[in-house]
Amino acid sequence: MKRSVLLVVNGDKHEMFIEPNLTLLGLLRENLNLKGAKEACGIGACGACTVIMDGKPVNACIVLAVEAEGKEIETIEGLAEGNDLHPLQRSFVDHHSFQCGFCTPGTIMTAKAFLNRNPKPSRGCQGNVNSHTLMTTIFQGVNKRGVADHE
Amino acid sequence: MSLLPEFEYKRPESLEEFHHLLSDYKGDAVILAGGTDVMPRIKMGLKKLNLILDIKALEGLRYIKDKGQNMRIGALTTISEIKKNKLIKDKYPSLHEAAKLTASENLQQRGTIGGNILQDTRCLYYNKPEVWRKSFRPCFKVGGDICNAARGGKKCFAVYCGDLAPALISLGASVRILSKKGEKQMPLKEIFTGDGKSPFSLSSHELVKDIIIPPDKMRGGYEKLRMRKAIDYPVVNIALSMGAGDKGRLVVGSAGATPLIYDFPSHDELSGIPEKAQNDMSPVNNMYLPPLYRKSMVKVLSDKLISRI
Amino acid sequence: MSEFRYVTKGINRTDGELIVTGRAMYACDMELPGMLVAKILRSPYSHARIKGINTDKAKGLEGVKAVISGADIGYRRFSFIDTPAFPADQTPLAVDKVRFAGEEVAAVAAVNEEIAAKALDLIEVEYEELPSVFDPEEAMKEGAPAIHEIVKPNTTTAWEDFGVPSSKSRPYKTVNNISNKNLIQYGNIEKGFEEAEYIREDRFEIPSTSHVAMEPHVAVASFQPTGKLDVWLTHMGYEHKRFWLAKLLDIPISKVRVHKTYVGGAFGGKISIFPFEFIAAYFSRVTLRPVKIILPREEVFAGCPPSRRMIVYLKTGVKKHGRITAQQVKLIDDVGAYRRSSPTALYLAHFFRNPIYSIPSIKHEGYGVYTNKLYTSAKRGHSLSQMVFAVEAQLDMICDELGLDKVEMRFKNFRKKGDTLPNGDKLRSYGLPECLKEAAEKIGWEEKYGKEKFRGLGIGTASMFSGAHNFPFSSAAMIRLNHDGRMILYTGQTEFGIGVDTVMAQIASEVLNCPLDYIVVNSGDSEVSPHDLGNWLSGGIFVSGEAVRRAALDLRDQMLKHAATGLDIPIEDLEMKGGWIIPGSDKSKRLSFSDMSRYGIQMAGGDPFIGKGYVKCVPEVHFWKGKYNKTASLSSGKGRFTEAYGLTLAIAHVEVNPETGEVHILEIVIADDCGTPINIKSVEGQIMSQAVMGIGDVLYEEVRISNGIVMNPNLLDYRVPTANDIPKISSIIVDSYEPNGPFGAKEVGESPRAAVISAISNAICNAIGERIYDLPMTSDRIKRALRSKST
Repeated sequence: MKRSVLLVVNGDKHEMFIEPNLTLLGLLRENLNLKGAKEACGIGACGACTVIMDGKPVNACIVLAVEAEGKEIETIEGLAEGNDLHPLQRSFVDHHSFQCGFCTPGTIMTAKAFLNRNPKPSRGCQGNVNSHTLMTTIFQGVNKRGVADHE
Repeated sequence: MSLLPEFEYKRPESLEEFHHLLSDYKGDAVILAGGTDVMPRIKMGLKKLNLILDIKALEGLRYIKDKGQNMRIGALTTISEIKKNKLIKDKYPSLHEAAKLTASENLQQRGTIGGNILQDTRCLYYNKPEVWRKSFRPCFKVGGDICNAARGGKKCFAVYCGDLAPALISLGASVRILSKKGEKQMPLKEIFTGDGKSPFSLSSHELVKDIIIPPDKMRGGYEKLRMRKAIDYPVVNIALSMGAGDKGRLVVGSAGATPLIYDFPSHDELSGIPEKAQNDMSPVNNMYLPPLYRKSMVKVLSDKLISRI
Repeated sequence: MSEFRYVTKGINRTDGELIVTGRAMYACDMELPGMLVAKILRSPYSHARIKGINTDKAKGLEGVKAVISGADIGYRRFSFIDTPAFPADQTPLAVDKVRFAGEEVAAVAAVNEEIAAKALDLIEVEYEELPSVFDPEEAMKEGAPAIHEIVKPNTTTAWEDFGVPSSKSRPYKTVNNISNKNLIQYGNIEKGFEEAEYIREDRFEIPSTSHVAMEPHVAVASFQPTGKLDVWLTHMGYEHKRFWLAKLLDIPISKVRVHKTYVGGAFGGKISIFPFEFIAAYFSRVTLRPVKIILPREEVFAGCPPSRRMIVYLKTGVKKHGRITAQQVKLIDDVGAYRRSSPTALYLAHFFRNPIYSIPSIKHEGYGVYTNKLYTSAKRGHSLSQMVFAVEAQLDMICDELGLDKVEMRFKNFRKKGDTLPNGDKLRSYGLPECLKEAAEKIGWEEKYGKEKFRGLGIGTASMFSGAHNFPFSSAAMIRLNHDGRMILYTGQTEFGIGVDTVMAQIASEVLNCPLDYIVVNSGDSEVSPHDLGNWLSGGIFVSGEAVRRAALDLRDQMLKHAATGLDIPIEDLEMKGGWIIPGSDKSKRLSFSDMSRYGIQMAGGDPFIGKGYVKCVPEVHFWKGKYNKTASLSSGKGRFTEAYGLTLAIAHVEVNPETGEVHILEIVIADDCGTPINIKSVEGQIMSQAVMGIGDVLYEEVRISNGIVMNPNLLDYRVPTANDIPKISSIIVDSYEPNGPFGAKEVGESPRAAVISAISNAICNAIGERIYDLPMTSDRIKRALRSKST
């Protein structure tokens, strides 16, 4: 039975009428057409679908859209301020922290949540799998945000 | 998009509402907290369900209380909160270390202690999508009459792979369980049935309210062997806690459907336990690494843990 | 390298902002109005006759638009290799019988995924199970179940379509499940072994590993009422895709447009054509609606080919001092249910490692063998890592036996710059000795080797083509001047992680001596870009990059010629700089590129200034109407295969926990000879990513197949390294210049992985003092090896 949910995505309020078996990732990608978060494993094992829900990183492929009722969701699409990239995005570009870029939105969102609670990291992103696996450069990308490079 | 089956979704806000919803309900209900373990199972068609009861909105199930007496940890407390709690780190190192080594940082922020304890058993032939399982005959765990991992096996050998329960059992923890009839408390170790098919004695109308850990500060630790340094479930995991006079308990996880538990009255008695535990474990070929290796790691990990405590 | 302005620099990806904002468009992101979703029904059996398929109930379900099974589409065959000798053996949907569990049996297109999934459940298939054979060495025996019947080609083969002289496709019969074989020989193998003072024979086994591209396989097809097919695919070069889609659907190649998409990783796993791509296109044609298929991860694992499973029997003869005299290889390629690229794999297994060591006598014998398992494919260094794993392991064993220094032994056997290989390929650049010297120094080989308990060091080597003579044979590029003086560069290269747009812009900017943002790159669109090799066989930079360089040179020459006329100044006096054409004699008369565009239109009869460039991968291998045929033979290894070889040497330093068998990698150093790095950051990225891939290959990865069933078809059971599993990795780019490459560049995208696999596995065996012959070296295998040593 469909339910009505109200949630905020990247600052915009959305009232949606949805089936309970829709995942948060499905809602973002199919209903809101926000294609940044990707599905790569479908079981919460890789992190390509990571978005931030009420400040915490979640694997959107294993969160129901109805669970996001009343929550604030941040996705990669909401990270830049207008034309200005978020420092993390800038840093990923400057450090070549991606190759195919498929998992990059999820990795950046994990990194953002991580830096929010841990501004001086040594290592992060352990829940993310990246098959181009430029983890070293990803660390650089993450750590560069005002912190000494880690190798 | 990987698909979920159809179900109803309810999010009770009070325990009354919760009990009311459950007692009236005729179909199969799944209780949802963090969802990190149960949601992949639902996606794989491993849970028959008509209703998801999301308990995250329930008042008063998320706390770590310690007033000098028993510590009480609400079932909805996240693994991350447990990991970060200084009192737990100080008093119950085995629990702290277990939380630290659970899954990954992201999943720790979502997964709850209740959900982690009550995660279902796992098997290489079971935790797979329905389409995949069509290549096999239905096994005990899906209601069939054979075991695909141990041909000729007369029961389900699925393995309990929780990280927190072995640590909590080593600490002598109990659980408080709520149902419409009221509240009951039992030692955590007693919720395990020993049956891989349905590993817990809780009925479908019962809910874990919190976990109670005895007040005494314990020495101890947790060793987990896993293939990669993040995400993976344990190959073997050992928890050890001991209090005054080195009286304590060693618990072996991922050994079968239920953790193996060894009490010892003093340090002298502890030394024989690793070998005994290893002999007690009789794994079958149902995990990624072979059974003999898993078995042989029980003593190795136990010895390592004992020597560092 | 300081004379370069754009080339070699670690310039940021020109499309970086697109990626970090989530705006890069992958095939899975594609939405079209009225789009249907298709799903595939796969066989649960590894070998069974299909006695009947009933799709009536599925067709009757509301929302279902089309259902197909093998019977509907007949015997349209396709393969990666399709030659008169090896005609295609696979159909997009199983006809009559299934040959592996996971094979496509039927498919449904519906208005949404839920309905498509429900419809699949309504399809009734009656199977009659047949005996299966899973072990290739069993399959080769007389009396083993026959997996393939006689193949009777009903069309010309792909090679004939590409222009290979027709020898008229003939019925092809498989004997003892041997799909294909090859025999490459040079020197005198008997004499070589007679001269040897020590001979070793070993058997190694390498399992399939998955590519684990983060984006699953996707096809979006939109067939238009005009008879044109638009597709958005996960791919590695559109020529093969459009060739096969056109052939299977019987439409002209020019009417198939493969649109540009970002591809979320490929590594060889998205090469050639797959049934699901045909199915999407077929559904779109019969429904006249766009159709999308995204394979769930478990179908990528169980239905799409992983790397090749190989068994290597290796016999090597050496002199006491370490010089190799002869090497004999018997290679068994467990191809699975369909042949695909096995004939290529068998020769690549030899040719990819051929440039490393100078071995006077070689016998390389290969067998591709059908089994009732998932078929297999190229993965980053197609067959290279399997072969090199065995060769390098055995070299270490020989050194241990004879007490030889492992570094010295390799120095002693390396080839030399300027060498000509037995098939005629030339090593115009060859940096392996420098790689070894620098890597050994950096890791501290001498200080550490043999001095640390349960720690070990290991060396791995690799080499790789820079493009090859195979289809699509060549690349071309175009560059067009616009009124604003900027240029649009057209290249057929696909973006799946290499930074194509950036490096191609760097090359064009270098030639035209103009700012990088003067070059707008349009890549990977089959309707716009000229013929392209694709991102195969690591020819992206060497071949397609050289085509871009030549296109830019052509444009440069055209502009200078017109400028000379327009200014009435000798062409020799003109210089291009910063987007200007500047006369040396009078700089005030300089012309901007935009002036040139206007000049072309107004004064040169409307000349649009379009530069073109093209390169044949191996110019001397060609065929044209039989007469001038000069080809290279996959089965005898005769003939030229590539113009340049990239080379890698890796050294790993590891520690093994003797109690648990766990491996802790302390450090990996990778020294690479890729000629001139066009973009140093991209090159480092390529090397780094292959190191991590190699870690997975050695420590965890294996598509585990038990009784024909893939046991680990998800990212929990199939483990790739996580961030926490990555050690310190450093890369060294040795000074090298490849005369035939653009600005001296050659391959870097494939060889490091194989070198790393050998390095780590040799280091592990060195640490435990015991040899493990199979991959992956999981902790239980290491523990077992340690136990066998102590008893």
